Amino acid sequence: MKKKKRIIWKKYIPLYIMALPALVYVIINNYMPLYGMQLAFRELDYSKGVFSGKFVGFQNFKFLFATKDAWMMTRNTVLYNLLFIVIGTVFGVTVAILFNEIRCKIAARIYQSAILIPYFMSMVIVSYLAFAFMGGENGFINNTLLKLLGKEPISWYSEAKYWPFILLFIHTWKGIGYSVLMYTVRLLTINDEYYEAASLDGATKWQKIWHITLPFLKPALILMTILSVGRMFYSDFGLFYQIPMNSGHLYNVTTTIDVYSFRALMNLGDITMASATGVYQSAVGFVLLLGANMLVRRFSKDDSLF
Amino acid sequence: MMKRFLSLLLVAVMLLSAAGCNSRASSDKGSTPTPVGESSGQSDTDETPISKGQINFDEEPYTITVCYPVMGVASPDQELIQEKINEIAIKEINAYVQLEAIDLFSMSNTYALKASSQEKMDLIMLMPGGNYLTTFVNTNMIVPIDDLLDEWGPVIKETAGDWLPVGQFLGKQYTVPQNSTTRTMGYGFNVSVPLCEKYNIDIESIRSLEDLEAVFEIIHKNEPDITVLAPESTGGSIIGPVLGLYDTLGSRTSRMVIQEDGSLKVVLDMESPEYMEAAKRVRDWYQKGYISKDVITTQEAGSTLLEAGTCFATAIASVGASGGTIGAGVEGRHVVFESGLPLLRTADSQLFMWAVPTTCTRPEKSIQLLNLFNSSAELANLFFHGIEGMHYEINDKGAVVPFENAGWVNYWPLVGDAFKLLASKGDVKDGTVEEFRQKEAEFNKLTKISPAYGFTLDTTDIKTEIAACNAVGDEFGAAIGNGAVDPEVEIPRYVQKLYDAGVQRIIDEQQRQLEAWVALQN
Repeated sequence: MKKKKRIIWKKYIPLYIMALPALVYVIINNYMPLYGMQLAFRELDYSKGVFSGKFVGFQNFKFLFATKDAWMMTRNTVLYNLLFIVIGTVFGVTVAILFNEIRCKIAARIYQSAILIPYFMSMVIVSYLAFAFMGGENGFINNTLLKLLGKEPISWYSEAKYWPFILLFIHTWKGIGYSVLMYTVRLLTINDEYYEAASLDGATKWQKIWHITLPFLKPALILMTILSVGRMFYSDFGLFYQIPMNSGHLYNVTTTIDVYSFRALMNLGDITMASATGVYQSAVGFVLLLGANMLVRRFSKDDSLF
Repeated sequence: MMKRFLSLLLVAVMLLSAAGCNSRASSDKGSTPTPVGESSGQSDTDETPISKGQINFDEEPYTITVCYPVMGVASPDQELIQEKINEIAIKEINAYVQLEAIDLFSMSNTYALKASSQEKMDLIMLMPGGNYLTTFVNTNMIVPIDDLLDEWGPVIKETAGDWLPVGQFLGKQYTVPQNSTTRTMGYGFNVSVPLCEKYNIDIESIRSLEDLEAVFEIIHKNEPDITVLAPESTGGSIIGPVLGLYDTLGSRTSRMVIQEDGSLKVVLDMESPEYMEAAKRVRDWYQKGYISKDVITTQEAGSTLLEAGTCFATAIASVGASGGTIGAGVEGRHVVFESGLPLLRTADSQLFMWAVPTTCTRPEKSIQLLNLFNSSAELANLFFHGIEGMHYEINDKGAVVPFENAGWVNYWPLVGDAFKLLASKGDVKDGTVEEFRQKEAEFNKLTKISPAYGFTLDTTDIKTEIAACNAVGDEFGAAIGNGAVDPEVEIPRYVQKLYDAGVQRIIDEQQRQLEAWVALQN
């Protein structure tokens, strides 16, 4: 028995060696900074290095809660992510199934490549593309679309109410190619015999999708969703900072936790206050991740993370 | 991505601080055989072999690391300038100088990281100093230098003269304010001369905002493709010169009002009728199409547009004797109204300030160097203009003409007595240097002095509120200040949010400290 165990252990050594670089990376990148968390609870004192400051408890967190900023950025981050998960999945699956129905292979390849291109674009470039549409002076929407409809031009970058939709649209437009790719890979594994058999039995197209395609997609769907939920407390910095061009009047709907930390560090230059933001993000993120995992475990035990 | 960046930053901080501590402890013993003073600022201890004001030439030369601000990265010839400075410094104060350029836009972060990793810094420039003085004192970033100045800085005291008090905080001298020939600048508008000539507009006749508005109308009617008015820099606001100058007492949201009995009262600026009136005027300009609809998102500064000829006027906050900061090749003239006349406030004299950081082991060397810069016109000119024949030439009027693409570019006179510096061609323009100095003296006479000049706000207890109010300011300031939103709707919201963020505490604290300061002055 004992011998067997050792053999198994030995078998895994090459795997551990292969994982070593990634482990080192994770330790340096994710574990060592944990030590720096104490900064959030210290007074800023440079005289003997920052780690020598007095402990001040939650003093540094006060500025987060002095305004409604903490609530605002948490709400934005979580709600946008929920929205992105739901809409992204629905659109991704729909488009993947539609692509799957295209019989001409060349056309399918072309469409697939075309839809993937935005995924590789830098957010800075996307922000200028968006600006070309929404610019106040020369923007396409104000000068062409709204003029045709006989409507007053809208100053997009100072009207917060449009931005949840704009951000959702841009995020979906940019990310859809990737999720379609993930689902298409899965769809390709479905044997055509199922569909042929269904056809013989007189199934309609809709029935085929509902009873064959979707069940096959379910594992991929759950995996993608768990991955997204795990990153619920992170936001795409480029999307929320670059696309609105850091316009102050949109802060209410564009400030997510990452954007806030960045701005706090840049503007205040106060390491302890910026750390407080980071600690807040980690703490709430941790709770959320545990919650999400608990939910998943309740519904489908095999798919939970731990 | 950002998260990862922040974590990396923290790792860097940690590793550096660990490494920094070790190397410092060992190098201390090696390079300074006679330890002179601690970072607390006392320079004469019992073991000190040197007497008052006498430089010790027997010891190993100390290397003074000087951090100075640049726009972007250091000039390519920095090392050459450093060598030239060293030739003099080694003879005069037995020290070498190590120049280190700090990007102005990340200055606070750079200093914070350097200090937290205990990296060597001996003399640092704070710019704009008013933003850093109280924070750096409260976080033990910089040391008091009263005794050091007495012992090693006679020329510094002479040069700084009546500027010296603005470098003090809570009664102690922490920084040396850098003097300049223009006391402070005014607010106004830069208007394009060629366009004025084209439409027969006499710039001299523009004497009020109403006059200016009439000119805007002419330009807008005849040149619909030209942006009539833009802020000087990206992220700036047009409302500045419309509002004019008043004392904000070191915050972004307050306004100091001089009451009839001469007492000083602090009020919330955004609640004042002046602010509403100015915001409405800017809004009117925006709606008439004088201001670009993209003004809050544009990445192009008004000064660039003016240079390119696609803009008629810019709102500027830097009108000096020679007409503001107009880029090369632009024919622009400044228009200043009564409200925009220069007003000397504490922060204006705090623009450039030298300080000795806590990480410095030989603070007296830093002060010696600063003293040397102030006593030697040669050194000061070398640092500002570079080397004659290599970086600049002197024209027949006695003004410095920098070469194109010179290897040494310094944007500001950072060190030394500003009155001993050679005047630049950009300032002197077509006249002689004497004429320019004359003009400057006249301009300085126009400068009003704020009754609170010399008062520095202690932000320790209101740090939280200031951070929160600044965040609110970021949200509303530029949009209202450039007319992009309706002030009648947005200003009440702005004010409400400021109160929610605790602006009343800032105002109360300012009022209390100001009264204490006034009492101390009498």
